[in-house]
Amino acid sequence: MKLNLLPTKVKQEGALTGAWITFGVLTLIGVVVAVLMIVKSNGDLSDASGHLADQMQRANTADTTSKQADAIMQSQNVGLLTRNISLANSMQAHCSVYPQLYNSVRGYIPSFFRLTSLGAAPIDDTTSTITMTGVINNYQQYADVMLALWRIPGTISVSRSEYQLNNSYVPALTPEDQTGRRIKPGESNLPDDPLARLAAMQAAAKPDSFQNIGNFGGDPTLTRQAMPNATVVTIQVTLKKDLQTPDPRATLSSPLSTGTPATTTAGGSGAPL
Amino acid sequence: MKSRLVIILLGVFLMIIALSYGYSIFSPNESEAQMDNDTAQRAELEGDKLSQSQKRVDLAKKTVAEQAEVWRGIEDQYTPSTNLANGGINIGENAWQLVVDTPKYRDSVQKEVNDQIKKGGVKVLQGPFVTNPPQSGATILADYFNYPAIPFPVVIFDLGQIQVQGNWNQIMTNVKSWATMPRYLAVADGLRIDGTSPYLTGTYNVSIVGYIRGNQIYVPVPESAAPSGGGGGLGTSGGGGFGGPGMSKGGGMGPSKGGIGPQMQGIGVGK
Repeated sequence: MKLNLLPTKVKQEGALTGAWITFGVLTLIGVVVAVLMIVKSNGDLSDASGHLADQMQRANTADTTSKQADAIMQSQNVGLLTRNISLANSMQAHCSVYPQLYNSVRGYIPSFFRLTSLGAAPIDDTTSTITMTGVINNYQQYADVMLALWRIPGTISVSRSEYQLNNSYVPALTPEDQTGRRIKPGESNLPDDPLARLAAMQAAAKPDSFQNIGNFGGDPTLTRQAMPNATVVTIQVTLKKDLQTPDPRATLSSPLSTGTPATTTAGGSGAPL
Repeated sequence: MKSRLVIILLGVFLMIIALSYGYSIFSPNESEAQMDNDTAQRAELEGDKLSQSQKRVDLAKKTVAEQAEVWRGIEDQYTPSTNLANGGINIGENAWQLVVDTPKYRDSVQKEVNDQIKKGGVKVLQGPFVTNPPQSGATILADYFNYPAIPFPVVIFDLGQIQVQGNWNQIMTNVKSWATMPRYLAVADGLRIDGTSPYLTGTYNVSIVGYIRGNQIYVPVPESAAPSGGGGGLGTSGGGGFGGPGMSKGGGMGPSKGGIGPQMQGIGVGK
């Protein structure tokens, strides 16, 4: 039998030494790992910051360059230049707008509708009105002309006015007229008795000299108006067409906000620009 | 036994403390680095647009150059010259001389309008009148040349109603010809046709615009006598000599370079 003669504290000290070693190792591990984390994160942050600075510089350069392009295009001189060119082009282009419109519309005006006046005026920036004044011979043509003008491309509406109905009609019977012969508005019934009818027709007013109706047979420079039994009518065609006029004074006087010339809807003869 | 456990636990605690401290530095740094990387990535995308931006600058310069070239073409054909004898006007003259020159210039404009209105072979029934300029050197620039209300001197004549007589083609040609009026920009508007062919009457309105060439301009000059005792005035006390209020800004008889110069150069009007 072996006898342990060592004091009990010797055993305890040995155990404590192991504990202290473990303590040291654990502490060292903690410190080392902490230092590594700090060093690595600082390194990462430094790299990222450097990278960011480089990229920001590139981005700023790109941004500055881009703004330079904007500055060029938005400078007052370029604005004036663009506006002046735009105004010049629109002014010159507008000189042909009315002739082109009238030439294009002309093909749709039926031959029986003899124009005495043709005008147009803008309503807004998309629609305009063409006003035609002319002569037609009968009520049927008053209907036909509407259908004909509806064929104009872009037509929105066609309206008509001023036709004076002058067609002959069948009157009501009277004691003298038991037949009901056709007469014109304003005329009296024609009697059945042949002698009385002859007297009535002889009594009816009829031209016995040059009447100069509608400027026919007179000064050729004067406008030919309606022939006898014909009517002057006015027809308005509303269609999709921009007839607005560039307004140079308003355009040049306005602040530089847009290159688009100012326009006016005044239009039409006698209206100031 | 207990003290050994205490020591080990103490080590564990210290390790945790150290790791916590390390993590407290590590985590924000890594987050910030990540944010920096994200931002850098976006910045990189923006930076990659540098070539596009440069192209935009080049395109802008090219566009401006093209526009300037277009304007030079317009300027050559549709602006009056600076030579009074050739129907133009020299805006660089002093305002007193400008008052003398402008009526002659107005007559040139009227002649050009009269020539233009007959284009197409029409007969003129109602011709327009080009307004006379004011006789005041103090107001002629503002009233006739619209300067400085408009950033550069420009004459604008709203000629009002014009009536011409001819056949259909003559009137159409006449109206369209305003687009090619020499030395001026014109717009014909509101055409109405009346009458019976071949004696049709065309009625329309015309406005014309003349961009005045020049790169210097005089300041307004005084036209009314200076109040007694005041400075300036011709040959009186005060400023003496040519020290009138209108000329003082330009310095003696020298032209003022302000105002018109940069804009006129920029739009290509200046010669």
